Amino acid sequence: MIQGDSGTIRIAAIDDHPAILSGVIAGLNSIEGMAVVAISDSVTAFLESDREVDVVLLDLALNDDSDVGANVAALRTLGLPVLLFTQERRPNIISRAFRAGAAGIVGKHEPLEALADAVTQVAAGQPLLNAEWASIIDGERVLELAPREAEAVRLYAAGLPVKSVARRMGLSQETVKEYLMRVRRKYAAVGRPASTKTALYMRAVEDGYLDPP
Amino acid sequence: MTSYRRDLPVDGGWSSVFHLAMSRAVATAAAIGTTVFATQIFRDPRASHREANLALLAVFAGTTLWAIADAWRRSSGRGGARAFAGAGLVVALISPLVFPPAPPGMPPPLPGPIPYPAFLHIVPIAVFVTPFAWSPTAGIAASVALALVTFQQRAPSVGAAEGALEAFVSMGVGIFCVALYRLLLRTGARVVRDQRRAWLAVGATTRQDARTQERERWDALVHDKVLGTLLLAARTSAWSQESGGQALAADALDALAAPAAETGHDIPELVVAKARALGLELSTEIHVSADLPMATGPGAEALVTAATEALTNVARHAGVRHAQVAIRLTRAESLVSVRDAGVGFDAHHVPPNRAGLRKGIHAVMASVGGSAEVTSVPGQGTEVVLRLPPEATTPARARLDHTWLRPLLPWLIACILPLPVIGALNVDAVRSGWVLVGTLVVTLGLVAALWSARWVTRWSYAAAVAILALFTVSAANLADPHPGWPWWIGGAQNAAVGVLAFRTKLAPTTVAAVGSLPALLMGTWLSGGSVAWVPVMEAWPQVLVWAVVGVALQRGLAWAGHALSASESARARAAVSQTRSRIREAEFARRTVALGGAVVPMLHRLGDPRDLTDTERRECLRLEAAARDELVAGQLMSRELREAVAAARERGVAVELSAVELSAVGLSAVELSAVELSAADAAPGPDAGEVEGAPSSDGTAGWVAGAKTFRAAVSAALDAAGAGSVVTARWRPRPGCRFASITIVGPWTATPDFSAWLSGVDARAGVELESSYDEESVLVSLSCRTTLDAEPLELHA
Repeated sequence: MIQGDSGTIRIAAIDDHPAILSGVIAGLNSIEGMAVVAISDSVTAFLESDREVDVVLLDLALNDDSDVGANVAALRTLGLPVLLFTQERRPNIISRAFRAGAAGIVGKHEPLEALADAVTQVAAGQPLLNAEWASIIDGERVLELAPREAEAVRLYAAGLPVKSVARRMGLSQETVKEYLMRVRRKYAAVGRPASTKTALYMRAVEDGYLDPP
Repeated sequence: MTSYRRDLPVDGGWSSVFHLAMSRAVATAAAIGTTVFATQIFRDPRASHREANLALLAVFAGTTLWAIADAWRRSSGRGGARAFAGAGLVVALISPLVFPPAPPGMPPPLPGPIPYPAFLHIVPIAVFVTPFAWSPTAGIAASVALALVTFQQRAPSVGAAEGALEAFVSMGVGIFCVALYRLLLRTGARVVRDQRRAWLAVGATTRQDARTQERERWDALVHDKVLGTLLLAARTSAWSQESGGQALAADALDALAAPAAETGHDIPELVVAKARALGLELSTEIHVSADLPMATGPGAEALVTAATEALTNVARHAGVRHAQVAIRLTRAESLVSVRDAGVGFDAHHVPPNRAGLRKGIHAVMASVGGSAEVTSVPGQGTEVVLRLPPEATTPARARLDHTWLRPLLPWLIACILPLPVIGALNVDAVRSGWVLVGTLVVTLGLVAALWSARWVTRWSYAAAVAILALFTVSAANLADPHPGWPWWIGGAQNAAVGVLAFRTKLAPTTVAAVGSLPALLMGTWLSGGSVAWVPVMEAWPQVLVWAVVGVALQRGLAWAGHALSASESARARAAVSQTRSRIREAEFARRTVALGGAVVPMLHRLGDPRDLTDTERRECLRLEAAARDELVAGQLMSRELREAVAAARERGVAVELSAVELSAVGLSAVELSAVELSAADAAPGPDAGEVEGAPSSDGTAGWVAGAKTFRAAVSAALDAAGAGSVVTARWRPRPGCRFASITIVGPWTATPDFSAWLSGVDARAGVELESSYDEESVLVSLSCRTTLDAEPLELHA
């Protein structure tokens, strides 16, 4: 992402409870090189405000009955990286957001530093690796992963840190990270892979167009 | 249509309903039989034994009045039926003494006394009524007695063999009636049982729906309000300055205070109330059929939801404060229309982010099989018409009507039909031994089939039609019978089959009805039998009595059956709606309690603009974590697990739980209930028993075992985790067979034998635990042998 002239990362925060955000916003603004420039309570309102930003912090469950996937997709069409900022941990909801192209997820309960790191990484166009994301990949039946990649994802998804995954697989941490990033890229590239009839069928079932067998 | 619902002592279930129907049929049959008897005494110049007949007439008239009184009072008493049947049987037993039979094979001279006394029309009715009046055993006993008397009192010219055959036939008639009676009772009982099962299933689904709805509402509430407030409080040192947070706390408290108002049952009232709440002025046009059962279930809720959305759109976008609402609820359709004269919009250019129309109206209606039609002209207003197929608001009603008693009629008539035929085939008329043997075989077969049949099925229709054909052929083969017999048989057959064809609208019965008389005449003519155009008058009393008994019984059964349906369904609906609100309240309470009793006082505290102490902020953090657990893994949390997690957090262990929503992995309602209830605390919900009583499948057992093992394994892992470690427990049913994993990262209590701490975990049937560890992490995978599909991954490289 092209950052603002000053090199500052411009952040938009979309949450229907701005009160909750206030501390976080103050925290982010206090960090050198970050500025929260837009706050709104819905994606529609944000899009209407027409602000230029580098990263969007998005709450998963907004109060306006909007759909997570649609929200993320709407922001992605503008080329904005979306960082989910939420207390949500229900995998199927997170999964919808990731499928729509979210770059990563950070819990509201996580410390400010974790959020700042994530914002920096996402603003730089890097996808974020974390166990939530891995856990969703691990559930994908359609994505074709090499056995070692799948194993790395599985261990990572269970909650083990990269170091531990590397030791268990007898690999270096760098290799494990490389595996995971490769999977992340594969996933991002296909987004919603449906290259085969079976894949198409799976998608239809996932989206509720067909009943599962 | 509604009258049958009143004053019915239907609490006794099917048996009492059947008795009510029978008492009506008995009264009708007795009245007809007695009238025919009276007509013959007074009008028929051939009638003999006038004084004896008059005395009998008085007896039958009295018992008939008694039976009519029984039916009129709608009591299930059987006094009238007993008196009538008793009189008929006694007369049948003693009649050979009073009225000596005519010599065999001799047609009666015209004019003259009729040889077969007029009142004997009543005997078949009495035989038919006996099992109802007393008991099936009494019916069989009466038949046997009648047969013995018939044999004993046979005319001198009738030989022992012929007399035995005649007795056997009359006994067959009686036993046949008893078998029929049993069949009717069994079929009815089965229909009632099916109804109850259908209602139980509806109840189970409703309970699960209520639970799911409440869980979703609760989740949304906790996510939106409670978690945010607690987290904010934990991070804000100057709480007195945080007026937004205080407002949020008050908001969260309000929401936690009350369970959701039950979606009511009265669609018009709800819609009007919603409109008022939105501040709209309404002009309404409401038509609800008086006999409509109260609308419940997802259909009614969808209608109210979509109508509310339409009204909300009026309030938000139309620019007017007035709306016209038309509601029309009848058996044929359920329709709600909302019209405004506001700004309108172009339906083709609704921004994609406006989800109200698509999700709030179209999708909601489609989900219950209904439809929504939105017509709007910019500048002229909008009309939203919501339609539901009738069964969507009253799901169980339609199901009941289809099964109810329709099959009984054709079978009943087909069963009654052979009675006069068998009567006609007595030894006086039959000259061919083969015909007699064939008739006996048919009679025995029919009785055996009736006796062993459990209920009326399609095969019964087939059997009825086959029997009709058989009798047609055998009757056509009679040699030199009584001149009136073709009309006797043909009349009965046509009356019965005609009614049957009319009621069932089945093609074979129509063909039989139209074709049976010509076929009979043709057969008679071809076999050289005497065909004379003696009018049906000869046999009209029998035809009339049997047709009327059949029709009366059918009407009575349909009437009583409807009454039973109505009362059963009303009771079931009441129970379902009661259960529903009870479950929603209980579910809400359960989750609020699970949240930790301390949350509500803490929210009270947070509503207060005082700064928070460090202890209070730590407490907020702790409560937030616990509430998050409930949110993400509430379906799997049990009291023990909550305590273990809280204790571990006290020790400085970071605990992260997550669970895929169980409903999202294809668990059925029953499985879901089972898993949730297996997590329920010591006092399970009031309906736990019902769910446990529900048919259990391997799938349910597997999921419950999996959930139990998971809880135990997480508890064990929490015990083993040391301060500063992170325990991650995830429930994620996967392709392949793993369904959960637990990791400990950081210090954990190493033991020489790793499985030692897992040995405390009771691995339930079908669940496998696999674990691996190194110096600073532990990984436990839970898998099962059968779930989902067979695509196991290698555990370790």
